Amino acid sequence: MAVHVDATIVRQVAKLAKLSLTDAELPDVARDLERILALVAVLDEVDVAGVAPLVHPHEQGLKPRADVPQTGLTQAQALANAPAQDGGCFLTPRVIG
Amino acid sequence: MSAFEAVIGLEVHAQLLTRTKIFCSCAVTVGGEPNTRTCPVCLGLPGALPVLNAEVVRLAVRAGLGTGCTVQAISVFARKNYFYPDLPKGYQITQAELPVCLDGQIVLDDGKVARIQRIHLEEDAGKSIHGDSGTRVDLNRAGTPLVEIVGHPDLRTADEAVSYLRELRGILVTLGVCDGNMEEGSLRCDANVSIRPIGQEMFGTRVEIKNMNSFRSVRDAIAHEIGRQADVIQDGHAIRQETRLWNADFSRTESMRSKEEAADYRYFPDPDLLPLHIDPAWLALQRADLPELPAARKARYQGELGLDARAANWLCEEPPRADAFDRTIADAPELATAFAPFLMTQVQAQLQRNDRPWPEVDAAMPALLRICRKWRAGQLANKMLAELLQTAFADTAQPLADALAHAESLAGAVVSDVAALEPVIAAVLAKFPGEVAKYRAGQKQLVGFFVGQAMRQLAGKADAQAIAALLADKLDA
Amino acid sequence: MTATAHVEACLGQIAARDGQIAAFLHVDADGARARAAVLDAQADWSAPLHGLTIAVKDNIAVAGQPLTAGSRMLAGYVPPRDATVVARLLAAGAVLVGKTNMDEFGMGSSTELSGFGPTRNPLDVTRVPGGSSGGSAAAVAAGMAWAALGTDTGGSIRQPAAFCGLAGLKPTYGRVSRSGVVAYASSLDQVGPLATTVRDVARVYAVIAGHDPLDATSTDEPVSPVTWRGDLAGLRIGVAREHLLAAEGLDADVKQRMEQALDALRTRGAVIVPVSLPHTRHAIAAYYLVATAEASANLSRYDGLRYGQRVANPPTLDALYTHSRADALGKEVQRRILLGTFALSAGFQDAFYQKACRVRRKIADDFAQAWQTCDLLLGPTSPVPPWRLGEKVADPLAMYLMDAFTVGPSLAGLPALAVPVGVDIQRLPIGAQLIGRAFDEATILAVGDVLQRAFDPTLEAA
Ligand SMILES: [Mg+2]
Ligand SMILES: [Zn+2]
Repeated sequence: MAVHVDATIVRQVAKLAKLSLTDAELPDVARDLERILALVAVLDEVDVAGVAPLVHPHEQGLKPRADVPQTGLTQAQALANAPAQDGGCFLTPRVIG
Repeated sequence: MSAFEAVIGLEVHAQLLTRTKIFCSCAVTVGGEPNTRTCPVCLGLPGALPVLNAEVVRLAVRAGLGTGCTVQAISVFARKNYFYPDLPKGYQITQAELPVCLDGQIVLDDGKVARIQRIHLEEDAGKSIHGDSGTRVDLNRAGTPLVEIVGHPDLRTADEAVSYLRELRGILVTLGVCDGNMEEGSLRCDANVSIRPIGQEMFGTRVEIKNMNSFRSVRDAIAHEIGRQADVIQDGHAIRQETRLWNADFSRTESMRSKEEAADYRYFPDPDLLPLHIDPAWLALQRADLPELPAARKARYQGELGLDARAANWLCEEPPRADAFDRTIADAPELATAFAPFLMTQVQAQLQRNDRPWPEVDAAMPALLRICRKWRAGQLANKMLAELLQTAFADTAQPLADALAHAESLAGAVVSDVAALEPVIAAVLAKFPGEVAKYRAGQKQLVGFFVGQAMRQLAGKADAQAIAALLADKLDA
Repeated sequence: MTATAHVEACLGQIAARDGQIAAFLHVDADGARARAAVLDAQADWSAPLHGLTIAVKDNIAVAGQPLTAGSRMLAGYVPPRDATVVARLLAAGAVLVGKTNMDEFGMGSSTELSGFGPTRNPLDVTRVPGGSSGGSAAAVAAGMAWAALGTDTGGSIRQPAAFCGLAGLKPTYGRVSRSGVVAYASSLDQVGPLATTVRDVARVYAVIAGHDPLDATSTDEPVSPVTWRGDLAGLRIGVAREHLLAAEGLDADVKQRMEQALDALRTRGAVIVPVSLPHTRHAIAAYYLVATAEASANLSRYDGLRYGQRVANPPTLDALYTHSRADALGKEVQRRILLGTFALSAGFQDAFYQKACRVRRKIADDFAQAWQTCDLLLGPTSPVPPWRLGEKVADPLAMYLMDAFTVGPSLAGLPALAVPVGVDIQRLPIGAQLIGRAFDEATILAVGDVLQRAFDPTLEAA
């Protein structure tokens, strides 16, 4: 499927991906994406009618674990890499709305 | 307003009663110091991988079986992608296209059937604590196992919604799937509400209401929202598709976000988790392992024990209460019709007066049955019973069963022997000759007046039935 | 040789050469020396990797040592626990010398896309070492470690092994635990060893393979020991026309070495069987959609909240997210996140992500078809020998196409082994790729060993 990647699509995708893009960067990103999408358009050649998607290479079933608690991390370990913390919590700018 | 009907569907999140989280071996606990129940998995550290807790599957399957769902042979975990501070991985692991259970129903008290669309498994997020200087994030709750039970929009009134939620809660608690505590958030409910002119097939624009943490708030929020929507339409405006929060302090719903900013969650199968297969033989064992569900129990209470619907429903609202009732009444089924209303009225009134929780009563039920039996046999007069209960329930120094036994021992015996009662009755009849004449003229209901007067003389500690019998002897002679 | 002497030799090489090569992001000299001393004192020769030095790719967690996955986003991050593979190496008596450079989050084929600068190929420092496990390959090739761990999503062990004249194994998907391994694309990522010889690769593989309860995708298929062979009588080796005769852009020297490899194997009794993998030309497209879709979710956790880089004084939460990520993640990583986000987004998911997953099944079916007539496949690892630094870095598409032969086995979850088969006219190494049936690492290792010895008589003498 050939897609024309315009600024609107790039802005929407960047918003979903939480990546800030300046207006100056948009055209380059759009062009890169469009080129890659042109490359993947080769998939249009493949007839996949009736073919189920393959998500896991070996398609086994899940083997759940027993419900037995194990020792986790201490508060200090949990917060050890935090850029900002307060009162044992991770700290972020105030969430609005 | 009467020209509209409401269309309501509930989405219920129930926290599963497991020891550990859904995808890691951290203990599930309520409260505690922030970020003391975490590990690389539930913190979303680089390289950490989810491993499914088997007990989560068992409980979700029980929830499905208890609500008449079809348990799916294969279900798939998916990633729901969005950014939020209390969502450590930037996606929630949930089930999308292929949930663990499909197509069940809840039968409401009035016999109406409300359909369940699906039950899926998912992980809870952490907690965000919003303050002026920033938002603090505690991830103790992150990864707590949930089932989300999605109902069809089959409900039409706020009362029906509450009835649905009560019934569902009863099932989940009976099955040991969830503790059903709405205040602590282990059972949470969102409501999709729309209205439409009566007779119209098509649904109106729906509004999602969140943040209701009691049955009362569910009823009030939905009733309020129905009224709000009717007002909007009658004012000639259109309903906006949005999410609204119930503000119990102001008894109103408040706009949270509109659907125009609706997220694109980009669901796709979680490559870290293989499909969940449910073995048919194991499923059959689970089905055989189900206890009596609230609907069957209510029917038994009314059919076999002869309770009225109100008492039966009331007992079944709290499955542990019904369990204790069943245990206590097992050897005295003939007392059931007396014991159930005794618990529902006198005992409940005492709890409310003394601000004590129900579970204390469950443990004291044998003592309460003993007292109830005495009372019904006339060995405890009404006033004595009231005093006894009041004394025992006000005594918080010892377990309720002990307090009841103690109060019982202080209550003494009722006066029931003829020798003691006769002079009192004679005095009463002598004091009210006019009433005696009226009685003899046919006003037989005056017997209650004479019993009451005699009781007063005996400070309430007499056998009312014995007094009534003696009175009959004297007056009808 | 004592562990201490071996460690000192490696540290000596690092001191002498790593200033130029830049294979390591972090060298734990003190830790390695201390551990070697302990191991020498214990002298437990039953430990399968007793005293042997191993370099660990920097997307694999070693508790208490920095982990960046080649990204400035994770500068300063220290993981609290060992990856399962690391715990197994330590239990087997190995000495970890440090963390190796890589393309950021595994996204690259040259190790030029590291947030901390490129690694150079020790065999020709004007060339790239391949990628994304380029630091691991360079460390072994330069004698800075006996062996290394890499990770392979679409060729990231095999191609750098080939570029640095080493053997490198991508095990069957699910064979080796991914617990503690920074995810790029979860349904493709596998950890595997790089070493000078196939036999050394097999030694490390035997230690790290096997079920891990911390990784739900790890299997409990038994790991069969390798039976080393002298001849290959009765073995059918498939050659896909799309990997050799009809391969696009295949370097002439590479092609010639493959033909020599086939001759060598034929001489030792193998039967060469022509097969077809008709969807080879679609594999890159399917791979880049599947891998980037998974990556777009896997990399969402780098949000600057619990760890990693955070932009200074963000006015709002959204600014914190978008600027922290845009500032600290490299351009290629952002490009792949955007592509993957697009491929999953409403209105496009069916035509891109879903379609790619359906083609993925066709690709797996191609291999299943091939196994009807052969026991393993042989072809080139990379269509070309190592290129010069900077040569392809400006054009992401040109770089993507270099993965043409390696992404197929990744999509199908099959084991694949890079084996050195000589050099080109400029004395740059060339690697063959042996692809095996699922969970049949033993066969490709045994054949790889025969093949490597055929091209390196010094090994024959050993
Ligand atoms: Mg949900
Ligand atoms: Zn945890």
